[in-house]
Amino acid sequence: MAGTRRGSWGLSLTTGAVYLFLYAPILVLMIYSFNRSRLSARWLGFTDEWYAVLWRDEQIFQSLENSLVVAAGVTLACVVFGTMSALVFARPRLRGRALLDGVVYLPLVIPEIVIAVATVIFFSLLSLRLSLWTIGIAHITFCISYVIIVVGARLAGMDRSIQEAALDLGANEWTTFFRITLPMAAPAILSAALLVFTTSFDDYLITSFVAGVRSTTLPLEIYSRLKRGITPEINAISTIILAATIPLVLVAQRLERGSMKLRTAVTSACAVFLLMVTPVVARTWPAGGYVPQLNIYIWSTYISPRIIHGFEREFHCKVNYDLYDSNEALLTKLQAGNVDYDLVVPSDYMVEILARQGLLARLDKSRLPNAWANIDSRFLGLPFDPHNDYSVPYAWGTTGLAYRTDLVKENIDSWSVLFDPRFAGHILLLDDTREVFGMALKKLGYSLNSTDPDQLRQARDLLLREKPLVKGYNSSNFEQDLAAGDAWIAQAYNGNMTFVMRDEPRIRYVIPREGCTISVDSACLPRHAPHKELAEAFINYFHRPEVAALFVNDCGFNTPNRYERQEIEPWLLANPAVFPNPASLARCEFMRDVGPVISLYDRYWTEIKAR
Amino acid sequence: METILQFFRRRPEYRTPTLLSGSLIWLVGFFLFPLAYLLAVSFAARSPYGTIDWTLGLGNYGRAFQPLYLEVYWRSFWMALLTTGLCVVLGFPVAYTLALRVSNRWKSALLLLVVIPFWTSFLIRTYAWMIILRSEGVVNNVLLALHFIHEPLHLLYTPLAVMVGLVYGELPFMILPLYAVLQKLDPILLEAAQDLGATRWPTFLRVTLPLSAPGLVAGSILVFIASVGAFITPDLLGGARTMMVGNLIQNQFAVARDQPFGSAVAFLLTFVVLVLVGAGLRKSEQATREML
Repeated sequence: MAGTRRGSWGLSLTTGAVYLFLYAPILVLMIYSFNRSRLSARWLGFTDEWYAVLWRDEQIFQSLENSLVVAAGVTLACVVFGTMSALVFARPRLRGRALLDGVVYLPLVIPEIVIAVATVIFFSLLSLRLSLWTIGIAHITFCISYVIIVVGARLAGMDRSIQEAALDLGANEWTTFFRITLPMAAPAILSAALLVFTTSFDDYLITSFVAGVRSTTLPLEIYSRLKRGITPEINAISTIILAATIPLVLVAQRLERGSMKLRTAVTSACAVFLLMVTPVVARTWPAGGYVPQLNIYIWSTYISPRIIHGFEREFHCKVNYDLYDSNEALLTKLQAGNVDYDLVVPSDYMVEILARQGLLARLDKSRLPNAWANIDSRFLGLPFDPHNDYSVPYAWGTTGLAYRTDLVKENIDSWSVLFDPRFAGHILLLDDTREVFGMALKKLGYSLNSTDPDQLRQARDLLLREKPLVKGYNSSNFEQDLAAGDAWIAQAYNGNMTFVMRDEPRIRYVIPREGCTISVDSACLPRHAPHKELAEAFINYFHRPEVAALFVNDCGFNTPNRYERQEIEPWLLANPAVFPNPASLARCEFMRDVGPVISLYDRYWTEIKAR
Repeated sequence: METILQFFRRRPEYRTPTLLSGSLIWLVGFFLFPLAYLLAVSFAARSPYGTIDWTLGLGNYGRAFQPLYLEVYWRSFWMALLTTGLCVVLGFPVAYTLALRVSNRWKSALLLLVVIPFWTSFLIRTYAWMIILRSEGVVNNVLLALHFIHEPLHLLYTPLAVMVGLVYGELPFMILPLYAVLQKLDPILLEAAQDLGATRWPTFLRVTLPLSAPGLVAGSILVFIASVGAFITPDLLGGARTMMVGNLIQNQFAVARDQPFGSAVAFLLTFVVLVLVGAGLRKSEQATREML
């Protein structure tokens, strides 16, 4: 039996390794939730600070509440409808079973991305306002089948003579159902309910497509923070959630084995749920009465909590914001026509596109005195909106090159480094159609607003040849990759670099000598914005010089407002990413709408990404 | 309540439709209709700014079969197949050990340990892998400290990272069905094989493996479907560089705003998956029948 012994040793080793594999990431998260460093890569000592940060973080608690509300509602609906249908599916003989089975199993076998896109275009067709309700509707659709299948299997395995006996003994159908059928099916119902709850609670993909105003769930919040690289409090909340799910899993498991009484199981499941809900409710309980709401959809890097809180206090309202990382994402949401944002901040060329498609509202200029008084006149009346009918400049920046001086070991001032084989595998490009094409067009010596199909083809071919050198496409947290040494050179939005350059002096930002984009992001009101006056009040508030200065200090981007320079922190004034020398700006070009040619850009971009 | 009962006693033919109504209205209204609409959109065209232009045609399908996109499907197919294979290789020993080697006392505890990671947020676990695989991450630090390497390895944003993420995410879906069939396997059959002179590998290949076929097929279907349409893992761990068909679809809807083309690709993916599942199910039924 020596062979067997050696065999089991190998088996145990593999099994142990797999368990290590399963738990490694979870252990890492738990350990790093106590890491002093904001950048997760390095260990700088123990702290419990992130748990305190987490407790103060309203956004996370709001999203957690949204997730719990959706998951609870979805579970209830699925259990009620699913169990009703399971009663039918459990019958030994059922006409049309093959067809019904098909309908029920289909949501489980079709890839989630397909369900997501089908649902989102369908909601857009129906003009259903995207909200927590639409998230709930979508979740029920892909969860209800679990309940029908799991409960149906349990009911089918039950001895029907017990129910018949109850009926014979004079109980009516209701009594039989509640006293006999339901208790016997209860373990299956409960375990299906737990499965539905976690599935709904954890869903990102479908939710990201059907979420609208004020309906950010926890996974959406987590994803957006991961993308922005702000993560220690994510480690903390993951650790807490993990701690909370373990009792739930234990309950489910014991119940399945039948070693726990149903009542105990239900009670403990409810207890765990209450334990999770109480702190959330305590944290998000409204401060009293109805307050007007302002819903903002804005670049992920443009949020300053100090500005938002100041505005909320002064105007007695609540500001909610959702974040995006590309103009195209904004366009997609507004085009779908079923989200109710009050304020959006597209870049120059996107203002033009949105206005042309009738997606923006005309501003009431009389409500924006601060803007007209304080904005540097060079930024007013720009070609994308010559009379500022639709847009008020909000922030401006450049898209240049950022690199690690210690890794690149030479001075860089040209886009051509992005095509230099010596840096193969260390180059990041933005995940941004127009910016990447703009870079390539500039490199070829053309305008970054080219509409000439031949020039575009050349740009595409250039980018295709370059792709083997590129490590990744990233427009949300490329600065983290530079800081962590995962990339040496990155095409970069200037403002993303500001804070990383403070913490990591070996990073430099330059405007390449071929020139690059200068962009002006502007505040606009979507055509059907429900709270136009409040949105205008916010724009006007933003353009008070002292508030604009806060924006520069908090977000690391410059704004066209003529704030007092002494209000800006000195290290920022010295940062060439935020305050470039005016001569280099002369080489920059504004991005313009390229009209129908955009479909060629989009198509070539897909081809480059797909390769 | 009594009136409702009276009604259904008088009209028993209404019982079934009423019980089914909730789920079916939902599944038809919010699942089958959207899929049908998706199919319809896939024959439409894209207007310059990305709205749907209802000039019907087969153009999107023509485009979907261009070599460039075939490459994307091929890559997704291979990644999914490799993921499935790795899940079998890693999952089988675990399921086997749990089902046949571990005493009953530890069985459920160990099984529970397989399930727990599956209850934590998928996103968070993927993100943990980013920490582990970074240039200054856990793996590199450990290898550098042990002097196995002198330069950090570039692991993040590679197809390897995507593969690790996919296998990690799907492994429980392989272990659980395998465990379910292996647990029902009668150890006497294995002993019989050995008594008849078969050594370990022949026993495994001729007895254990065929008997676990239904679980193997079920697990493989689950893993394959989930990884062929994966979107988050290639995006986060692959650095949006390794495009799989899920990313292609997402990209058409969220970035390129070519919904008709995205719909066509989505529909093709659905079609292929359904064919594979159909074949897989028939195979597993066959296997089950042979087993009996």
